[in-house]
Amino acid sequence: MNYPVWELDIGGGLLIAAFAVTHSFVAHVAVGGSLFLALTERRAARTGDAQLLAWLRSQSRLFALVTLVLGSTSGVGLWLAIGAVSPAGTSSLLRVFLWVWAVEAVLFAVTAAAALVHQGSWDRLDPDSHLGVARLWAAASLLSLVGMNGLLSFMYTPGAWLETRSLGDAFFNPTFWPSLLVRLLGAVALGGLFAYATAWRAEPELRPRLVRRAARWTLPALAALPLAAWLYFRAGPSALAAVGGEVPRAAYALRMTVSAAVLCAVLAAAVALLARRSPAAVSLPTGLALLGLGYLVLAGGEYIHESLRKPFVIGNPSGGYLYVDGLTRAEAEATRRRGLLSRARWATGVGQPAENVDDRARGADLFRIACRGCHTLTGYNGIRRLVDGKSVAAIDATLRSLDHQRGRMAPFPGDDEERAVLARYLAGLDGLVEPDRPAKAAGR
Amino acid sequence: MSGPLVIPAPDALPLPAPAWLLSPLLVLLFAVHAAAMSVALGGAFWAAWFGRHPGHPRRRELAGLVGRTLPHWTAAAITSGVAALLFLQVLYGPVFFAAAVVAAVPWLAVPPLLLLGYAGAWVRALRHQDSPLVAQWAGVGSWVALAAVAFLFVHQATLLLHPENHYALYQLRPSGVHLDLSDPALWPRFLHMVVGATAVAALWVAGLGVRAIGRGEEEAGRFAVAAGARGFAWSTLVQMVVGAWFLLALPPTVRSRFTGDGPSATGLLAAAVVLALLAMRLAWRAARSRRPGREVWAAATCLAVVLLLMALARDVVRRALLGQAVDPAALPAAPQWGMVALFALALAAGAAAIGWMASRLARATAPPAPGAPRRGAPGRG
Repeated sequence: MNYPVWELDIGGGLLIAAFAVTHSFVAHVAVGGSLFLALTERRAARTGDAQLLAWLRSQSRLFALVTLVLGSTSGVGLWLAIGAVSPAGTSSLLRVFLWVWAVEAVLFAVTAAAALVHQGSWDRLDPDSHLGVARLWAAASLLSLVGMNGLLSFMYTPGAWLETRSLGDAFFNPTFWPSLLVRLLGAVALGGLFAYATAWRAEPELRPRLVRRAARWTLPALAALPLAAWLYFRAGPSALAAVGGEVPRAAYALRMTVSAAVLCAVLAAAVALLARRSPAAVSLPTGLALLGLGYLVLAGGEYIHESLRKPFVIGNPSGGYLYVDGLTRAEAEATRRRGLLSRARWATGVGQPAENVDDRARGADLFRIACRGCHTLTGYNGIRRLVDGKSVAAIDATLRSLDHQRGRMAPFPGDDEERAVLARYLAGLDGLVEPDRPAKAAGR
Repeated sequence: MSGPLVIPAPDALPLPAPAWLLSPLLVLLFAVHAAAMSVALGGAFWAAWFGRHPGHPRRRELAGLVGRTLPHWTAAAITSGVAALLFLQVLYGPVFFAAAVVAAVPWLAVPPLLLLGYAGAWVRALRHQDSPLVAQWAGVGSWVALAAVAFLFVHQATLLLHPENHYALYQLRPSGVHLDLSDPALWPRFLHMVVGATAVAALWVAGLGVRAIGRGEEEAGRFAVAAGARGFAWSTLVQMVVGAWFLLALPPTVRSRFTGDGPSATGLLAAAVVLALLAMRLAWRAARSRRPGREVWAAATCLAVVLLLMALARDVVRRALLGQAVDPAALPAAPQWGMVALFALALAAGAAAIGWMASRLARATAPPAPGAPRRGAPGRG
């Protein structure tokens, strides 16, 4: 309403998801992987293990390259995408978390500097200093995860912030700790998986030791994830009900996540067990398969997290601040009483007499403002297939009770007349229904 | 294209600090970003320029030396850029986000281009010895991609200054495909960035030469200083012409602030021009000097001040064009002073951590000669 809405046929949500899951995956790998590097380097230095040091040397460069390049560019992509798809949400998050982000920027700078120094100074720094750089890299990565966890968990459970507007309440929100536990375990598991995926680059006799070490990271973390996830769902309002079936997509995502995690654990254990007898088990394909499964686990987890928030960008069904359509609760209440389009700054015909704007244009504006947060016309979550063949009256009835539908939608933010206009617009999308005739009937 | 002036209302939540604190931080962070971005973008140009003659060993060596630093500067440019963007968004959110939606497609082309530029910088750095041709073309590709990113940022920064165009463009096509080239200041502004980056990076090349001389690599160092200093001087000369074009392309009401009507803006521009000329003079001297360190450092100091002055001038242009329509000073604030203190602490700790690593590297021995034992090198015990 306040900002223009980007008409993106693939769906803004899908675009954000593509960047968010990739960035989250790389970020978790970066945190767990830098911890893995630091602890493994300490072990190699203590034991004087030259083979392990040789692998760490090449691993450090590859790891820095992958995490810095993919991590920073996907992070920039995510940042630009959320600003274009959900300007109101981004603006609100900035107002609350600007300084947290500013601290994050400092941590990113330290992480990048440490990664660059670490990979390029094996011949220059003494072992203690080099290990110190590795520890700095891991510590900065870990702290950045803590910071981002505060923001991400706030988006689901703003908790007391809704009343107090205090940053402390926003950051240490009801799901902060269980969410941090889930993310830490995820990072450790993925750090181990990255070692799996690159162990084939080590000397053949080192590979079994390497994957066993990676297994000691990945398997316990995967085993502990269900407990952490349960703690998280328990802390989140109506989360258990949502993943239990109340929100079908969250339930599907949970099943996919669990299946991928189980497969990942089985494959990781098998590779670790087979590595000594069949060194070919430690290979690029198995490594990529493990990372792929790890990606699915993380994608499922992020999808569940996003589903639980619905219909809010900031909030959850038991209390929220900003709906996915970019309206605050207070704004939505006002527009339901007094109309949406008169307050929509980017609607058709600003500066023109109202009679110049026909109902089709008004319907398109209403769809853009009220529905485009989640739906497209024919692309991702396309509205056409949901409304085709339905009468105007049926669509109007659905719009009247959006917030009681499965899938958790925001209530329609317009008045009765606007709802009828939108119903006629949606009914006429397929060109088969004469938009006006059934609408008049429904209106009477 | 202009239509009704439609500007989103400011966010209902208050600013997390007063505008008098956020605005200077935006200027400062942008200056830091401009410095890092300039070395990354201009450095990619100079690495390609010196590497264009593979048969010339001195040039090739210098291309490798410059190319090795590019991933570092690209990382610094991205990190500082994100920080500057945060402050820009929080202060000018209404016009920033509106412009981001109106031109969403070009804006979202930034991440893939940045990926190409950054990955190209790494390939340039890592493949210089074993595949010089691959390194050279990766470097050229990196420069082109980063220049395209610079153009898209300039486009976004220009578009946000013209809220009078946003509504009409959006109504024309709400699919975010607009590339608004109507502002006469767009191209000179872009060239101002690119040529400026070339100049800054050239001075960086001269700085690398000074370091090489310090290490006892007299001949290579002297070559780098001469090449960098000349590159800086010529780029700065071109920049003067581009800068004049940029000034002339600004709307008269804004331009007049820099040409006498606004004493502080005029002073800013005059000081920047004088310091740039001084830096140019110092660079010429460095190119001929036997001990060029002092001249290069003095020129770099002048240039750092010029960057800060240019960031301030940019702020003047932004305020002049947006006027009262978006005035951060008028926004309510609920300062999070505890977090401001934590940020200051984090900044100090981060600087200390990076300083510690730099001091360790400075104290460390130079990289071992080829064939010498290397820690963790494959095949060695």
